[in-house]
Amino acid sequence: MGKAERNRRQSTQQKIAAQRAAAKRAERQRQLLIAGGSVLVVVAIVVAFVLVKISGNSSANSKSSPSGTALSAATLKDVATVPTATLDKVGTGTTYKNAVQKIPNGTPLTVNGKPEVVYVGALYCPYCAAERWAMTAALSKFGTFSGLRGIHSSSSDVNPNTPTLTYYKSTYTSPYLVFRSTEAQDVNHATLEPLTTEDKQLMGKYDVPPYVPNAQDDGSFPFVDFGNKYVIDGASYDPGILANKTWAQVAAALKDPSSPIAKGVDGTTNLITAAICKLTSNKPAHVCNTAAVLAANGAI
Amino acid sequence: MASKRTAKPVRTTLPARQGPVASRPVPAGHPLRAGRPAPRLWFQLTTLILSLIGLADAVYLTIAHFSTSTVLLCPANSFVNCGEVTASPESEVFGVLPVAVLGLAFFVFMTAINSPWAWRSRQLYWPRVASIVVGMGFVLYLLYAELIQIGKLCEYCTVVHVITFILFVLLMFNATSTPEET
Repeated sequence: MGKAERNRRQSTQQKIAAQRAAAKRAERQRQLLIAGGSVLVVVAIVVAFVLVKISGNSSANSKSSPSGTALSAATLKDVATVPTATLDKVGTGTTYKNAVQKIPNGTPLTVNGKPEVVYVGALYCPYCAAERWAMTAALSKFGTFSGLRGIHSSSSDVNPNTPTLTYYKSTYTSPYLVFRSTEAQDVNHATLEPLTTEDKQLMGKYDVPPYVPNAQDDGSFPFVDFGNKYVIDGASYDPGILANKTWAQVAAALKDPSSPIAKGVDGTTNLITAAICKLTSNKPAHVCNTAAVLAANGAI
Repeated sequence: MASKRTAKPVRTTLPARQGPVASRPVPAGHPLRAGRPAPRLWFQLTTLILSLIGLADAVYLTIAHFSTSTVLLCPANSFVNCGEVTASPESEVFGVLPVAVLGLAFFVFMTAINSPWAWRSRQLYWPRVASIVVGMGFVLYLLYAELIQIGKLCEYCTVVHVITFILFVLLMFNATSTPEET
């Protein structure tokens, strides 16, 4: 083989090697693009979810006010004056078993000689939203609320936008008991009313297992302490029955014993009324000696 | 001389049709790719360990799903709450099949398919890639359910999601890399 032939073959081999190296580089770039691209797509989708979550929270923030919306006198009256006949017909309705739990050997909770009922909730919380309707209906039988306004629970939580009332900036007076409320967080989970020392003490005792299912649920909302004799931890009925209703519609439905709303709200009202009657020594009699309350006594 | 050394990986080239000059690289996706050698041992063990961690977490979540009662409570720590996620309606596909059980089945499969023995099998190449792609897609759905639908984050679910993502990255880069890179 001549020198020229050797050089020509060598040159051809070098060209082929260069072509193969270039093809390999291109292939590697393509492979990197496929793998890297798919990873980037995943990361982009995750980032999009996070941004949607954050923007959802902030849009809810702009729409809601902790003070709520003024309610019509008719709506407030419907809640405060659920007919006894309706309550008797509903009984315990569709309330959950053990919705009101008995506290064994609790030190009586009183203020100026009157039994105290302590409520701790949050505006975002749909379960608090459900409970407030029944709390308000029951407490209205022993006293008078003023300053109640309408709100919706968080739009980004389960049972979104559940219509309800708020105890924030409301007052309650009764000759039989003292009611104190704390709306701990607003609809965006920001602190609204800090927990009082009493709230923390009571929740430390009765908002922990066995009153709540798991240690992870310690300090959950809603929490209602009835004079350290009974406690409610969580919703007593399904908040889903309130979905897509206006405040007026919910309030009006309380009169109809056949409506799902009455079965949930009025049933809970009876349980709460029965618990309060235990604190007030069955006073007033016209509230505590009804068929509904007597039936509810067996469920608390 | 250098070109002779780098021209070694015979398995990534198609058979020569007109002598050595005509041999060319196998495109990605070509069936011959399935004949690629197994990745290095550290890679195999990494995928196996990640799969085992995911499996342990999935076992816990399956137990939690069946033992956690539905609680109608709003936790004081509102965002991170595993109980609410694992007891939510979204924790079951079509209201029947628990997501936790699907996760358990997925990680049982991933553990088996990422074992050093399975890495030796050429037939498991595409099932491995396909399963991690499907798994990653399902994780994205679950993340959507947690963040947007439920509005809560379960820390144990997040561990599973992160492990699936790391496996996705590893297996995707392994699937698209040339044999001498792994």
